[in-house]
Amino acid sequence: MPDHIVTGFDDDLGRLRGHVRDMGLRVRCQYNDAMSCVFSWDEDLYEKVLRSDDEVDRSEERVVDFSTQILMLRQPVSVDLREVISALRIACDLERMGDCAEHMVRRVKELPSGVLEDGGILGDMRDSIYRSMLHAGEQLEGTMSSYERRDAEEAIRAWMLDDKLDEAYALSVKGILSSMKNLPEHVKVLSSMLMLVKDVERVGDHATNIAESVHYMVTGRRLKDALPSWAGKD
Amino acid sequence: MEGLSRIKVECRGVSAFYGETQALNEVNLSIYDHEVMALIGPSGCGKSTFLRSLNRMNDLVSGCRIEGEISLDGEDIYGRGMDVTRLRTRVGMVFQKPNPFSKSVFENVAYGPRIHGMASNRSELEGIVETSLRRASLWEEVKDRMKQPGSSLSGGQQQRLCIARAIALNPEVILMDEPCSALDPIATARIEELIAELRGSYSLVVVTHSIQQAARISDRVAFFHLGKLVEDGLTGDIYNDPKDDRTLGYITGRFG
Ligand SMILES: Nc1ncnc2c1ncn2[C@@H]1O[C@H](COP(=O)(O)OP(=O)(O)OP(=O)(O)O)[C@@H](O)[C@H]1O
Ligand SMILES: [Mg+2]
Repeated sequence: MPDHIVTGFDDDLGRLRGHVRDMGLRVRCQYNDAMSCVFSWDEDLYEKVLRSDDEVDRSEERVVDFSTQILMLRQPVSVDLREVISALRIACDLERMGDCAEHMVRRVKELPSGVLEDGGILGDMRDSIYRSMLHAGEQLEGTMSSYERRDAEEAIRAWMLDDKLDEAYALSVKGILSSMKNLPEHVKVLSSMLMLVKDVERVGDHATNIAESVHYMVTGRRLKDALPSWAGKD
Repeated sequence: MEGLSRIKVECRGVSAFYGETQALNEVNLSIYDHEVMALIGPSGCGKSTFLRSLNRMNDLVSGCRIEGEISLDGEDIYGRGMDVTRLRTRVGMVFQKPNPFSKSVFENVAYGPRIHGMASNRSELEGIVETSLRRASLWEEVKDRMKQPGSSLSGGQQQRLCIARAIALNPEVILMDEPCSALDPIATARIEELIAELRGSYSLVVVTHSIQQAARISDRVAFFHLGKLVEDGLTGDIYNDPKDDRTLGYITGRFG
């Protein structure tokens, strides 16, 4: 697309994109750290995840403030307006993902060590929980990459990764629920774990929201209206 | 809304020439009952020429020639039987610079109805003047200044006086060529509010250079470029996702 006649406008949008990209990077790091923490506890990493939350919050404030300023001073329309609206929405989803990452490590901290190891209470579920977290992370990667590249097709592909996550999530939940039945004495640990995988699922939900925002930003149309018919979802 | 509304003015293959130069090229556009249609596009693209062709103001421009068909309620306005004076009362016009006659406020509004014999006595005429000024949201400001010259009003008031003057003739369509370009934001807001009110009674076609203004006031937008109608559609649709790159370039302020 050609540049704006007022070059300051392009500079502003470029900076806004920079803020969103930066926020995306922080949340990706935070999520990856949280994931490491879940599978092998590390006190320093735990502290780092908590600290990142403040940084993510500040990133969101930057996106909100800067978006407001652009809306006020440039009065954008069409693609430019969608760019700003999407930045606001994406920042909101990223912030919630950061919260999820924080919740995850807090929950793990409460768990006795070794629950996810072989022979641990949740040893059997290690694989499906790992896959849930992996897919949610991939989805986050994919949507933020589609944002950076302004690629609506890539956004759709990232959106569709949700199926894989759903599958692994359902498996994890099923496993945890049946353990609850069989190991009633561990119900506290198991419900913590249930909430943890719920957090992972939420990360995936926010990633699909971001994919939808990217699609709308690029095309002006809803992602769900652009899906191939075989991919139709609720 | 297109499904529900009736076509008021229909243009088919309208071209305009000033001597050898072509200013409009095969424009097809319909204007519906009770809608506000905004015409936008870069300077010189033919917006004013198109607007003037809708009530044959171009007849007054020497060397200007219109081709194609324009109908008002299905009647060809360039047809033989058309009474042009009558046409211009049915399709009124408001210009960029407020241009009150050098007469009193009252006479500015009363002049048209009087020469068209629309009132049989003084009190009827006064009634028309008051109603028109009220509809133009000017009555309260000028009811005690009816004898003062129209030119003694502020720019924004003068523009509303010109709108009252058009309304006094009981038009069906009102054309406005950049009606706010000489006004401050408050006077502009008053005119925009007035446009919203008038929409209930008339069809309005408004040329504006402000794409924000077009967004605020119009139901539909038509984008002109180099004498061609590039696209027209519901304002929200055009502003979200125009079909043509020239439209996108224009509304977002990019090089096309
Ligand atoms: N009286 C005239 N004689 C000759 N050419 C004219 C005349 N009026 C307009 N034109 C030409 O016709 C073209 C369209 O002019 P028009 O005034 O309709 O454009 P516009 O879209 O209203 O522009 P603006 O936004 O600057 O008012 C221009 O190229 C202009 O130079
Ligand atoms: Mg003009």
